[in-house]
Order: sequence, then C-alpha cells, then structure tokens
Amino acid sequence: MLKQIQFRRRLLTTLVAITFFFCLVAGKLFYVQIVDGVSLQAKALDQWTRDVPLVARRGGLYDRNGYLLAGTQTSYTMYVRPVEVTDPSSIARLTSEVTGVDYGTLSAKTSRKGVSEVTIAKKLTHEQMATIAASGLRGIYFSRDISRYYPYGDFFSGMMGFTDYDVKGQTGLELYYDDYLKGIDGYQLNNTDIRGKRLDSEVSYIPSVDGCNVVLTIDKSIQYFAESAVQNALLEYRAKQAACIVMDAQTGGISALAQAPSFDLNAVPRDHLDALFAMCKIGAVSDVHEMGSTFKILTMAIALNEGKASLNDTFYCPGSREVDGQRIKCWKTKGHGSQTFAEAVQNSCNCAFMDLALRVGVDTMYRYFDAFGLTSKSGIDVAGETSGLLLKRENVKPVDLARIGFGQAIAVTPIGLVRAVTACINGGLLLVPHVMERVEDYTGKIVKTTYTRSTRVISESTSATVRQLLLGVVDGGSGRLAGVPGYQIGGKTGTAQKYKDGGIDRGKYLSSFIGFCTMDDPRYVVFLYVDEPQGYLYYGSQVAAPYVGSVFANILQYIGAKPSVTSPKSTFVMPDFAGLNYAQVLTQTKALGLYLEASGEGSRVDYQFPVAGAECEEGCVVLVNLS
Amino acid sequence: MAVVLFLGAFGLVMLYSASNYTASVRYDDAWYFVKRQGIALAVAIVVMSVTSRLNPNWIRKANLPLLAVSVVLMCLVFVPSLGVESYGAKRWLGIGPLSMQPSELAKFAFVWSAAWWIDRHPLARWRNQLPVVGVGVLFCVLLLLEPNMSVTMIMVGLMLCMLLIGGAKGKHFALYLVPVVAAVPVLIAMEPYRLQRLLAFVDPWASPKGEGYQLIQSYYALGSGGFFGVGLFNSRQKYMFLPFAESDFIFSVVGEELGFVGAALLMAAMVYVVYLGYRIASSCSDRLHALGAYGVTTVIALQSLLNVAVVTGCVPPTGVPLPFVSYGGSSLVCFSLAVGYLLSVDRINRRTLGV
Repeated sequence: MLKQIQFRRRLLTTLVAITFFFCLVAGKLFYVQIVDGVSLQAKALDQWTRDVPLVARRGGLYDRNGYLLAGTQTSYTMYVRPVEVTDPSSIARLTSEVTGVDYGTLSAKTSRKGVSEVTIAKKLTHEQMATIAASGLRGIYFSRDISRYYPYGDFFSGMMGFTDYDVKGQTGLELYYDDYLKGIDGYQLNNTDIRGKRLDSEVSYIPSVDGCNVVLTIDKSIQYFAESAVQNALLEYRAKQAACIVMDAQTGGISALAQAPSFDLNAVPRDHLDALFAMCKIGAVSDVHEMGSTFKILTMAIALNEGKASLNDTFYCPGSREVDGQRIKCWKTKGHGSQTFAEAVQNSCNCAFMDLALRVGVDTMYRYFDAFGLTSKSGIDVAGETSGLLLKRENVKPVDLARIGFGQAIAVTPIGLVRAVTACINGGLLLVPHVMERVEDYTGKIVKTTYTRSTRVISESTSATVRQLLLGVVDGGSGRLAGVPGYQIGGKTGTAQKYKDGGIDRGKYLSSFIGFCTMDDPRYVVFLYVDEPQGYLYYGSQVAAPYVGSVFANILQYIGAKPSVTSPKSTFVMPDFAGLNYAQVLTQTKALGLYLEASGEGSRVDYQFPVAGAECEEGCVVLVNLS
Repeated sequence: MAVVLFLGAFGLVMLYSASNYTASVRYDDAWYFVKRQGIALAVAIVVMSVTSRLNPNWIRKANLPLLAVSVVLMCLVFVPSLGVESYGAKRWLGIGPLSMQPSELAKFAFVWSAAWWIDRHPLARWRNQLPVVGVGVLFCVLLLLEPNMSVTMIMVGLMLCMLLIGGAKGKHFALYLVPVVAAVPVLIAMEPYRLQRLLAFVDPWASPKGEGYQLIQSYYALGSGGFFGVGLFNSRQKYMFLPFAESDFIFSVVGEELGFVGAALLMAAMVYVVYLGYRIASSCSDRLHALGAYGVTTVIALQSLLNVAVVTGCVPPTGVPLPFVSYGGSSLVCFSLAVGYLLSVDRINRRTLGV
C-alpha cells in the first residue's frame, strides 16, 4: 500500500514537472510571438520579398521662360531570343516598317541562331515599341533605357554639368541640385521563395516620386548670345579661355554664364578626363585674377561715396607717380596731362586712380571691400566658389594701396567683380548672385525659391554718378566698341598683366570689359573676359569690348528696348599712320573722332589696327604701336 | 483516443500546409508528404485499433524480444548497405521504398522492459537498478554513435523517470546526476559542432546563415504569427525558408498560421494527452501496466516537450519530431502502438472497476 501511495505521488510529481515545463515553453512562445513579434515580422518580411527598384523620373532644368535645358528621356531597346522566335521574317518586316531600317539587315539579325539574345533595334520611342509589341509575335523583348538629354547640346555646358550612367548628378547644377532633381525611387515588391523565385502574380508597389524641376534664372536667348560671343572670341584670339557673365542688375539672377572651350553635353568627352575636368571648372567663380582697370569702377565709387572726390576734381598725369620712393607708371608712359575726373575715367588713367585710393586711405578702402563682398564668397549656387585674394590689411603700404587703386595687388573672382560693379551701378545695392530661380515639384508646386537679399553699399546718387562716368567711357573713351548705336551703355575696359611665380608673365594678359545697359534702366551687367589672347591685340578695349557690344546689341533687340538717341554712324576709310609720331597720330585721330590707344616705347608708328584702307565706323578705337 | 485521432488529422492538415510548396518543388507533387503520411496514418489507426483490443499482457512476453529487436536494428543502422545517412547521421534503416528509425521503437521497448523488470524487482535497492541503467546506457551509447542527440536526451530523461517511478532513492539520483553532467563536456569534445549549436542557441543572430539559421527562421515564423496567426495555409516561412517545416519544425508553421492561440491550444492538447495517460497509469491496479502506461506516456510527454522547446528556442536546436503531428511514418506508427497499449490498459481498468 505504501508503494501504491509512493507511485501515485511520484506520478503526480512527473505530471506537475512536465506541465510546468510546458508552461515555461508557452511563456517563451508568448515572448517570441507577441512581445518580439513585430520586430521579427519586420525582419522576416525582408527575406520574403525581393524588391525591384522603380526609378524615379529625374526632374528637368528649365530656363526662366520655361524652355527645357536638360531632360530625361525613355527609350527602348528591342531584342529577340532566337529559341523562342517562330516567325523571323515577320519580325524583320514589321521592324523594318516601324523603324525604316533595311529589311535585309534586320532579317539577318532575326534569323540568327545559336545565341541567347540578339539586339535588333535601339533607341525606339514608346510608340514604336508599342506597335511592335502589339503584333504579338513570339520571342520579342524590350528593355527600357533612361538617359539624360540636353536639347541645346554644347550650351551652358560646364555650368549645367552632366550625370553618370545611372543618371545621377555628377558635376555642375546636375550635381548641385541633385537632391531636388533625383526624386525618390519606388519599389516593386515581389513575394519570393528562398531562391528568389516569384510566388504569385500579386505585386505590391511603392510608387516612385518624380524629381523636382529646377527653373533657372538663365535666359536661353541671352545665354545663346553669350555663348556665341565667347566661342568667337576664343577662336579669334586663340585664347586659353573666354567667359561671359550676364547678370540681372536688379535681382542678382544670372541670365547667362558662358565659358569656352566647352563640350557637348550629349556626348561628354569622358576619354580626356583632364580636359573635361578643366572645362567643368567654372573659372568665373573659382579663379581669382588681378582685374586691372575694370576694378577702377570700385575705386571711383568708393572715393565718390566717401566724398573724397567730385566731378569737378582735376588730375594731372605725368606718366607716373612716385609713392614711397617707388615709381609706378601709368599705362601711358607719356602721361595724360591734366584731366577732369570724367576724362581720367575715359583715359583709364592709373595716376588718377592711385591718387583716389591714397585719398580714401587703406582702412576705408578695406571696409568697402568687405561691404562689396570681395573678401568673402558671393554665395552663388555654383560649386567651387572662392573668395577674393587681398593683401593683409596690416601689410598694406601706400605703394600697395596705390596699385590697388587701379586694380593691381588685389585679386578677385569674375563673379565677385560683377557683383560689386552691379552694386555700383544699380543704385548701390549688393545682391547675391544666383542661378536657381525656383524649384517646383512634379505637380508644379513651388518647393524652393531663391531668397534675394540686398545690402546697401553706396548711395543712390553715387551710383548715378558712376553710371554717368562709365557712360562716358563707352561714349567717348576706351569702351567705344562695346557701344550699341542709339543706346546709352556704360562700361569699363580692363587689360591686366598676368603674374606667374611672383613676377610679370610677359605677353600674357587678361583682357576684359564690364558694362551695363542701359543708362536709364540699368538692367543687365555684362562681363566678358578673354584669358591669354594670342597676337598683337590684347587691350580689353579691342579684344573684349566688341564682343560685349554684340552681346548688348542682341540683348537690346531681344528685350525690345527702344533706342533713346539716334545717331547714325558714318563710315570712313582708315588712313595710314605708319612712320608718324604720336602727336601727329593723335591730331589725325582726334580730327576723325577716333579713340587712340598706343603701345610701345618708341617714337614712330610701325603697326596699326585696323589696318590702313579698312572701312571703319565712326568713333572706333585705333591701336598703334610705337617703335 | 479521440484526442489522438484529432492530433493525427490535425497533423495531416498542417503537414499539407507546411509541405505542399516544398513537395511540389522537390517532387513535383504538392501532396507528396501528405500521401505518404496518410498511408502511415491509416496503418497507425489499424495498429492502434488492434493493440487497443489486445490484452495488454502481451508486453509481458514481448518486451524482451522487442528490446532485442531494437538493439539489433539500431546496430544495423551502421551496416553500410542498410543504414541511410542523412544530414551527417545514420538514423534510418532503408528497406526498399520504406525507411524507418529504429530509435522510435527503442524508446518504447526500453520503457516496457523497464516496467517489466521494476514490477518484479522494486528499485529501492541499489542492485535492482543496475539492469535498467545498463540497458539505458547501452541505448544512449548506440544513439550517440548514430549520432542522435535528441533521442539520447529523451532516453536519459526516460531512464531517470523510470528510476523515479520505480522507487529509487534521492541519494541514488544524486549519484546518477554526476555522469550525466560530466557527459556534456565529453560529448562536446567528441563533436565540435555541438558547441556551435550551443552557442547558436545562446545567440542565434551571431550566425544567421550558419548555426543560428534554423532557430532564426523558426522565430520569424512564430513572430509573424502574432496572436491569431496569418491564417491556415498562409504561412510564408514554409516557402523553403524554414528547414524541416514538415517534420521537426511543423510547430513553427502552426505558430505562424494559427498564432499564439493556436500554438498554445496545441500544447494544451498535448498536456491533456499526457494527463490522460497518467490517469490511466494511476488508476491501474496491475503494477506492470501502471508502470508501462506511465513509461509510454512519459515518452510522449518528453518528446513533445523537447520539440516545442527546440522550436521556441528554450533548448539548443536538435531534430525531434512532434508526436502525432510531424511527418514521419515510423514515429507515427510507434506512437499509435503506444497509444493502443494505453487504451488497452484503460479497457482493463474499466473492466476491473466494473466488476
């Protein structure tokens, strides 16, 4: 009996123990299924599905008027799998009808055997693809290709940039605004077994979100004017580089930024990477130059604004100034003699601008350089911008300040100069240059705009005076060739010697012209520079000014500006100046109403441009070389 | 009887759900496993019906021959032409298209013969325990040679339970526990993969593609089930992600398709079967059959417990089928034999009470 009791007790013990262990397992089961369930399910979901990306359509880049500058196109490649083809001749006949390709060529391809796939036609449009697909012929397959295309090809190239083979932004604006342009890829989720085999026809989609469109401040037409100007300038002067910036003087929006040499965006020369890299670098924002005479605009604006100079001032130029015991020559070593302020500007007299800078003083000059934004980046939405290169304030000796007055011993970026000069002529407001006007999502909703802010640098009246002085340069000074008959255009030439390893790089110049149109309505500022022109001509007045003139003429015609003054220009035949001395040539050119520029240290003319006998317009610039 | 039949039928349904995809991929026949298991179930029902009508006293004579047959069959596994090697272990005997696991039979042969011995030689005396322990250790050694860790563990458990019910004293257990504990490092030293399994159990995420794979896939299935499951036939893990979804890990599919509720109910059904078995044992006046019923029920209990413990990650992964539910003909037939025996004992009990 005792044994029976022990048996039952031990049996019960076993049952309780087993039930207890089952309860423990149930507890663990609860933990796995309920507590950890959600996170486990998420992980499991990952292995159940294979996702096929649905590539979002990349947004387009548009000019300010809505013209497409960069777009995305979808094309189709048609191929056949020979083992599945039952009727090769019908496929060839149909494809021939659709694409216009010779039947014989296609027939040879469609009847090929022994390969897994044969490509029949590339770059088919959606309609062509649909037509062929609708035939229901067996063995035909299509693959979808997405590519970027640029309707204008070699146009705005370096700025626009390009995409890589996966249509991701690689350089330029394509890279800068890649986050907006690229959109969000979607996914097609397929249920699969462990080997990735699809289980059912049910497919879940996470739709892609198309990229945003970026509308630029660029005006396709103005960009075209600038493009042709720099291309021609590059060819004519076999220069290292030519570039042109057109900026909206009221907003800071870049209407055009052209740079040559350039390349076709639809056939990016990826084989020559060094050259490509150089062409993709936007010198207008990333290179600093001693600008030379164009910088004088800032000196005069500062002096006028500070009341250190007035239009009634006269300047005497003996051909050089001695500062700190150093002789600094004027570009015209014979001297300009006594001149009014306006004449000094027209003559681009270095001595006068040395005087102005010294009058203002280094502290005030540097304060204005800060205010004009030369010591910092302009903030333009282009990658690779640098700020100006200035001597340290405490290291500036009077001799340096004198040089700064006419644009030496200070290096700035072209965009920095354009920005500062724009502030001088637009009424005194410093703007932020920008290329992006607005970003719109695929529904057209604006998601981003450029916040334009402006800070006053000089007074409105100073600005008006500067405009007046610059008008004189184009009207009767070195900037004549930038003029457009009937329009009041102001500007300033610049011819800067280039430096290399701390010394003058002989024969290498940066020839430039910066101007605005028009006097009453200063709407566009145009800056064009030719880097290292080859040959005799290197003065900004002759190399750069004519191209700026053509850009102005085109812009004025394009915007439909009415001419304010009518002065039909007559033509005449250029006389021969060979053998004459400077005074004789000056007398003759003054009589003819021409503007004279002389180079060389000699006494007699051995070379002139335009050459004798050429038919020239009244008021043109003549260059003579004295030897 | 009804509960067991229900479990068998339920197993068949779950088996179809768990295996149809794998079967159609591997054998081009979605019903491959179900057909084979259906035949096994039919055989099992016949076996169960016959044995339940027999006088349970057949085990008095049959236990020793069964024991001998088990030992012979387990040895035959190692004969190259007869033994079938699968996943690095020789557990199956292949005879034509059929295959069987001798270890399934061995468990029952052991408990019956132990019951028979204990009935005549109460284990309160140390000497009397020796044959039970001896046979148990012999089986364990044979099983370890296959190797078959899971059945070895069950065998050790059975041995201890039989000693317990046979009246062994507490100090004896203390003595037996020493070699059992000592066996763990020895076994690991023999087969380094066991350590890997052990580590994988501690942190399956350390080797999601290796040793931890099975457990992680089981977790995925269970976790996806939540409270009420994804619905019958809707498992995603069965698409070849979960290994042995039709046999050792069928409980994972139950958890995924029927949720915590379904899985817990299934476990409750198992505990109910165990309870019924022990009730039969406890109400039996014949000491032999009381012990036999206890042993058979303990086999069912331990194996069910081990299976769900593996699937839920309570113990290191080891392959053991879930009684009545998992795919496996020899397992099903052997368990039905055991249940048939239990039912026959029950019948005797009722008759005794009725008289």
